[in-house]
Amino acid sequence: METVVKISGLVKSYKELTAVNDLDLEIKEGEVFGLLGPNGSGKSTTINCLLALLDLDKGDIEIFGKKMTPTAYDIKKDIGVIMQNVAVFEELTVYENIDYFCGLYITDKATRKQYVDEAIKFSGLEDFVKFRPKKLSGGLLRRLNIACGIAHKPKLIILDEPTVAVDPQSRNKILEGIIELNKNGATVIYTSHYMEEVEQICSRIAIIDKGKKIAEGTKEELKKMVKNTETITILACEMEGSLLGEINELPHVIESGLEDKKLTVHFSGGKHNLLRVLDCLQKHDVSFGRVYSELPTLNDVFLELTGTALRDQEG
Amino acid sequence: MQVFKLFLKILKKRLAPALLFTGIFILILASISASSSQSETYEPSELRLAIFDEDNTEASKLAIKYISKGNEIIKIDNDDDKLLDALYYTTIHYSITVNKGFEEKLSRGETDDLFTVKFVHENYSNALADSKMNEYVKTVSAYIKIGQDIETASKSAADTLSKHTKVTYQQDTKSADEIMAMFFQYLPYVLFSAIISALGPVLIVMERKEVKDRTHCSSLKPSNETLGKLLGAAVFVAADWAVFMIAGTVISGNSYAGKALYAVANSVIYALISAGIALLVATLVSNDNVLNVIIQVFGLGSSFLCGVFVPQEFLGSRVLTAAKVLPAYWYIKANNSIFSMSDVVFSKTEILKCFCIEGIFAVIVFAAAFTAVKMSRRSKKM
Repeated sequence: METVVKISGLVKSYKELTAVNDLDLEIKEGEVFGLLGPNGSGKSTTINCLLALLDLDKGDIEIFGKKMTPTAYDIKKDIGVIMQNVAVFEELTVYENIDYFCGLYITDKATRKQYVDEAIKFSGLEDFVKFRPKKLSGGLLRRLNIACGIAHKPKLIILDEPTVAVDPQSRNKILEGIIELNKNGATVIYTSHYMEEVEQICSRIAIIDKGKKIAEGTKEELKKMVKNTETITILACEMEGSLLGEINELPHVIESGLEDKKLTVHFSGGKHNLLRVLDCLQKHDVSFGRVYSELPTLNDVFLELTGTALRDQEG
Repeated sequence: MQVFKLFLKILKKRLAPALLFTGIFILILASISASSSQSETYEPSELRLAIFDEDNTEASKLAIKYISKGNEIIKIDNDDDKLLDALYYTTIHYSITVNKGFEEKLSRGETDDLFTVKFVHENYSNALADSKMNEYVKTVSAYIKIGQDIETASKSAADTLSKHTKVTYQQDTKSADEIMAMFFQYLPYVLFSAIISALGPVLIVMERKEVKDRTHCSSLKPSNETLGKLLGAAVFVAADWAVFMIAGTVISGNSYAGKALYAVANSVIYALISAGIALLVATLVSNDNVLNVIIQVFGLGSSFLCGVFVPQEFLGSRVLTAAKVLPAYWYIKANNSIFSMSDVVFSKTEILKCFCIEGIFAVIVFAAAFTAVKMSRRSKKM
């Protein structure tokens, strides 16, 4: 697979704050590449540098094998951008907005009309073509934002947190759309602080924090980086704290904890961990409520690599 | 072309304030012009009268003949009820009875109790009839005093009073030149307000960070983007200016010839300055409300300081010295020179000097606007 994007040693600072610090990334053709990190981790700055919207302090960016600069119009024509904030004109209708942004790339009228119609169909905005953005719901507005970014059929699509403040139904629709765009041949760069979304759609993920890349790989590769392979949670557990010692002695247990009658046990490998914990509780006649067994998430990866949970850093 | 089309589309949605400024100005000027050039001609009104002759003499008949002239005489019985009905339903405006002893009294020069009149309301019709009777009686009485007998005096009076005078009301009329001078005097305020209030919001919308970023990510060259905007702005400024110019010639009833062409050129330069200010303000301001404040403060402020609303000769020397840093001052100075000079002693030097200074203002404003655009682009990349 050809390399579509290559970022080498990227550094970008805002006065004393280093937003991106020596970042290297390589994104291959056909990938849905996820850039995961908490708010303020440097995702948007990376994207803005990638698009030459910001000057770089250090480093190089190559897209389609060519150096990316503000005047690299031959590169820009094949890039579609969907920014975090909705970038449409309130004065234009849905159709006019898509037509305008598509027209910045496609000058032939007939081709443009066809592309605009396809983008409208793709984003499910057929019934709203004459609506102005103000009349659209949050979800529809996001879909319009996406339609404006992809109407010209770009080879590389960059989505910077496109699902912020979107209801679950619209979010699913957007994610399905991204998968479809990828299936149609586009390489996708997707930034988000929602790990579930990244897990759902990305074939490869880079986790960044405080401007640095702390891990990169497929979600399976990333999850292998953590010791914790399974977490068992038991609610309304009426056990004595002294029993934790016995649980900690069980095979593969890394650590366990009891707080407000919630027992949490972390395992590193092994099979039938849940059965062993339940056996132990039964042996001591401990009553309990709901039981969960969870495989590691990207949050666990982030937690293990940075010492803080991804969600703790939000807001 | 894409940016140019977008500019016009957004402009269409943001045109209301400019139309309002343009429309109100034209309306006010048209009404001033219409009222100042209005002339009225007096036309006597015809009254419906019922006349009864109780004296039945030669003098009373001549009096009735005179009073009837120019009025419609309605035949009606001399009955109080019937007369009141006729007056109530306005079948007649006025009932006149020539009292018995009319000729005798008038021959002696007495003018009291010659007529008995009936009417429902005091109005201009009654006043008109009263005036006609008084006029007749006084004239007859005058002729009697100079020795004529009643019959001759009555004929002489009727003859004298039948001579019509054409009355024309001439109000404070303004010449076409004066109306045009007034038009160009107030033009800078409305031209500035109309241009800024239309162009400002359009440029602010197009400079919004989100859409600007999206545009900069595309394959559109910034120079083409700027060109599209400038072309859109130029089309609007030209169209708005043309509307004003057409309105000016229609309202004043004068075509642009001779020294008026200098006033036209003066307005072109001022329109350019206004467009430059719109470009500059839209780059520095990102909010419609702030833009409105600037329109009011700068538009009204410079108009008051520079002599748009108050003639420059009434302004203090310190105010005028301060106003020299504003383009409106030089516009008004040029305008005053254009319209104060007669065609015979018309001198271009002073006018061209003002044009040059205005031109320098235009260059400075555009240079500042382009520098602001460049600096804004650079700061966004930092």
